Formats: sequence, C-alpha cells, structure tokens
Amino acid sequence: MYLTKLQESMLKGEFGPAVQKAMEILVSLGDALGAEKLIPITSAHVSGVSYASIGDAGLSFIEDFASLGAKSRVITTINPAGADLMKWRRMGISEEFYEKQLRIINAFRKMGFQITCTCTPYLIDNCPNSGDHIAWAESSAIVYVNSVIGAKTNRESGPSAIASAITGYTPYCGYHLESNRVPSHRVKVNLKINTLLKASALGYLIGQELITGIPLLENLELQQDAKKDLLKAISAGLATSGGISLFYLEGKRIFPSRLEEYCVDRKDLLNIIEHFQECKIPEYIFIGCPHCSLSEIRELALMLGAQKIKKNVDFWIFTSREIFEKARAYGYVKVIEHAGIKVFCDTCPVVMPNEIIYNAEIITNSCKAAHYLTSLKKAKVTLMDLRSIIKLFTR
Amino acid sequence: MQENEIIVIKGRGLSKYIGEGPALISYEPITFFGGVDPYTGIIIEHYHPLRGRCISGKVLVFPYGKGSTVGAYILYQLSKLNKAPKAIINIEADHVTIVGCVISKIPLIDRLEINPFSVIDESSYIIVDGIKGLVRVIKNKKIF
Repeated sequence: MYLTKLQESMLKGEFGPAVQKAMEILVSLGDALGAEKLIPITSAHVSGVSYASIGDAGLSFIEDFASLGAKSRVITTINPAGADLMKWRRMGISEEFYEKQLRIINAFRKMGFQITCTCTPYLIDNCPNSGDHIAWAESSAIVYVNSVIGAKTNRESGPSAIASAITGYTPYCGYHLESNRVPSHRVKVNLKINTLLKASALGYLIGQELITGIPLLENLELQQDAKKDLLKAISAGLATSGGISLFYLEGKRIFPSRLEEYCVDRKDLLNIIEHFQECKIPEYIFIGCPHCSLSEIRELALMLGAQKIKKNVDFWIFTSREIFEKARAYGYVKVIEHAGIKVFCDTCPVVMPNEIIYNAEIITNSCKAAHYLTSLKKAKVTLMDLRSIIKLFTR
Repeated sequence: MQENEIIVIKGRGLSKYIGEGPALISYEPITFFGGVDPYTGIIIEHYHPLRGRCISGKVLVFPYGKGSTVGAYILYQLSKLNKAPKAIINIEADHVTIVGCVISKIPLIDRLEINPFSVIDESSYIIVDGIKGLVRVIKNKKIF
C-alpha cells in the first residue's frame, strides 16, 4: 500500500507508540483488503464500549492504549455503555460493573473521544456531510450514515475505528469507492410504512433475504413527518439480520435498470413480527433501539398525555444524554416520568449486562432489540407497535 | 535418527512479527469471542473439533476467524497473560484476526502458495516470519 511521508513517519513511531500501533492496524487491514492507500477521514465512531460486551480483555486494551498517549485527530463519538452513567443503581447495575464501565469511559475521555454513549451519533454533534469519508463502527449507524446522509464508511470494528480516530485515516477500499456503491437489488416494497415497528421489520426482512448487497427500495411510502425516524429503524433492521451497509431510496439518482428483483409484501412483514411473539407475562417494555430521537420522545409524550402505565410492568426508554436534556427542556420527560416510565441514557437493551434481563419477558417495537435480547439474553420477546403498547399498558 | 524435512512456503505477511512453535490445526473457523477462554487459551466453543485444546504457545492454523469483533481483544488479553498463540496462519485472514494479531504482536500470514492443510500436520514445527511473509515447516523435529 502506498503511504505518504507523513503516514510513513507515523508508522515508524515518530508520533509516539499509540499512533504507530494504530497505523500498524490500518496498514495490515489495508493490505489484506487490497487498498491502494489510506485516505483522511472527518469523523470516527467507536463501538465496543460496554463492559458487558468487551469484558476485561477490551478494558485492558483500551486503558493500555490510552496510557500510550493516544489522542483523537478527528471528531470521535462512542457507542452506548452497559449502564446509565448517572442512574445506574436504578437499573440494578452492580457496583463492580459500574466501576469497570467507568474505567472504560475514562480511558476514552483521556483519548479525547466525546462521551456520547449513543448508537445515533448523527442525531447529535457527530453528523458528517454527504460525501465525507468517515470510519464508523456500530452497524445501524453505518447503514444510516451511508444511505440517508451519504457519507462513506466501511463496517469498522471497535479497534479499527479507534485506530482511525487516532491517525485520522482509513484504508481506501470497500464503500469508500464510488464503484462499490452501486445497487445490486431492486426491492419492490409496495407498502406504506407508518410505524417504527413496520420500518424495523422491513429492514430486518430485507437483511434476512439479501444478507449482503445494496438494495434499492422502490414504491416505499414513508409517513412524511416521521421519515428520518423510520429510516433510522429501517437501517437498524437491515444491519441486524444481514450484513447490509448501504441502501438507496428510488428517485435520488439514476441506476442501471438491470438489477436482480425482489418483492416485499404485507404478509412477509407480518411473518417477521409474528416470529417474535414469545412473551406471555411481560416484565419489561423497552423502547429506544436505536436510541430515541427528540421527535420520538415527543410522540410518546403526546400519546401518553395524563395516562399512567400499569404497575406490574417496567417500562424503560433509551436515548442519548444530549437528546434527553433537550426532551427535558421541552417538558416531555416530565410527562413520560409522570406516567411511570423510566428514561435511561448512555445505554441500551442490547449492551446492558446479561444478568439484569436474563430470561426476562420483554415487549419492544424494535427488531434489532428483539433479535439480540433473544440471542444474547435468552429473553422471551414480543414485538408490538408503540401505540398498541400504550393502549394495552395504561390504566 | 530421521532427517528433518524443511518446507519453505511463501505467503502474505499481515502482522509483521516473527514466532515459532508446534502446529495446532483447525479445519473449522475459530471464534475468539465466546469460543476461546481469554484466561487459559482453551477452545470452549460448543461442537468445535478442537474443543478442550489449548492454543497457547502454538502456531495456530485455521481457515479464518469469525464472530464478534471483540475477538481481537481476546487475543490481546491472552498475549498479556503469555497465553497467546506464537503465530497464526490463515487461508484468508479476516478483520478480527488481523486486528487481534497486530495489537497483540502475534505474527500472521495468509494466502500461502501451498495449501497449509496439505503440508502441515500436528507433528510439524513451524517458524512464521510475518515480515518476509515466509513459513518454514519442519517435519519430525525433535525438541529436547
């Protein structure tokens, strides 16, 4: 792989051992992937933040790396942690877990990463421009940023995103090349998508059918005032069941007419939803996978009004701290908490410690949550849309 | 005494370190996260043909890695505990194995000119040079 003089000197250690190690990672990956060079990035997003996911192995790498003097060269945000960093006790998190989690967070802070702890960095301060080259981990955000925003990223891992944050470069290959961003399938949707559940199931269904590839979605009618939120849910669904990193909506650009075709109808969508109907006596309701946007929280507050949630179920919603602060300023949090719902930040159902919800019975409106709660936490999960949940669980 | 047979194979050096040890061969992919105990190096993946075997100190030969990217950190932890493999040979290295080897200073070579499974067996002793991209397979080597 061709390296510039600056990149060569980084690799030789002239910028310190952390930059050198980060450069070694990128050069090895670039060589393996056949990249001709490294290109500068404008933003990085790092996954593998929860102590529940990375354990002592990840903790020791991140702490060691921070102590080598690693510092981010571009705006860098991080994925959800294993606990709300303020209200962790109310989640049932143990002291030991919290302490290890805090060490991970502090190491990232030392590296100059923004402690956003969210899977939706594009809703807050890490929103790249169309055409930007970036290095993001977190599969749902990768799909969103590639497809809806039009920035360019490969599916990075936690460590490769850290390496890119520290050097400011990523290998020039895969989705960074325009020639690799051409649709492979034409997917005729013929559906009106007006709930997060349907959007999530649509993504999950297409991911399951195509596994990889770049779908061009046709005849898809998205409820206009919730479009961004619905696209966020579609992105998460696509990334969960398959390895899709990019999709297109018709109309934006002209594409080759000869593409493999695939049709989706109402019945296929219902099949996905019916696949997750395992919960008999619900203990938890989880909303916010991916993290709730401000408009989703507003919508929930409007649906609730003065109603209260039944006492026999624990209703939790998840968002980023920044969105939470905005929602609080608008008064939405007050309405939601008055209803008996807990609002947690910095974390999500997927990366919470397994023991908290192991084997639990859970209702959610997200296929991503349903998928991972079933596989990682052995939970019994039922999919239901938010309006039905509110109708069923208010008193 | 039997004469040692040495075979030199060229490949692609992806993690530029040097290491040697006895071979451990897996015809199945290896999942580091959840599949290998991060404190002992013992393969714990259910139904894996090498379940119960230890990868520490070995030159580990397998097609490619799979599973969560956290697997890279598992190799790092093993190397800190001196329980890592001495080197890794893949058919086609994957993201997790590449990153794991680089951060743990484990030599890694893939795309050998001769299929390693046809040359290497568990009686082989292997020297891996990730800098030059060379694998030396020594058969029937007696180690005293």
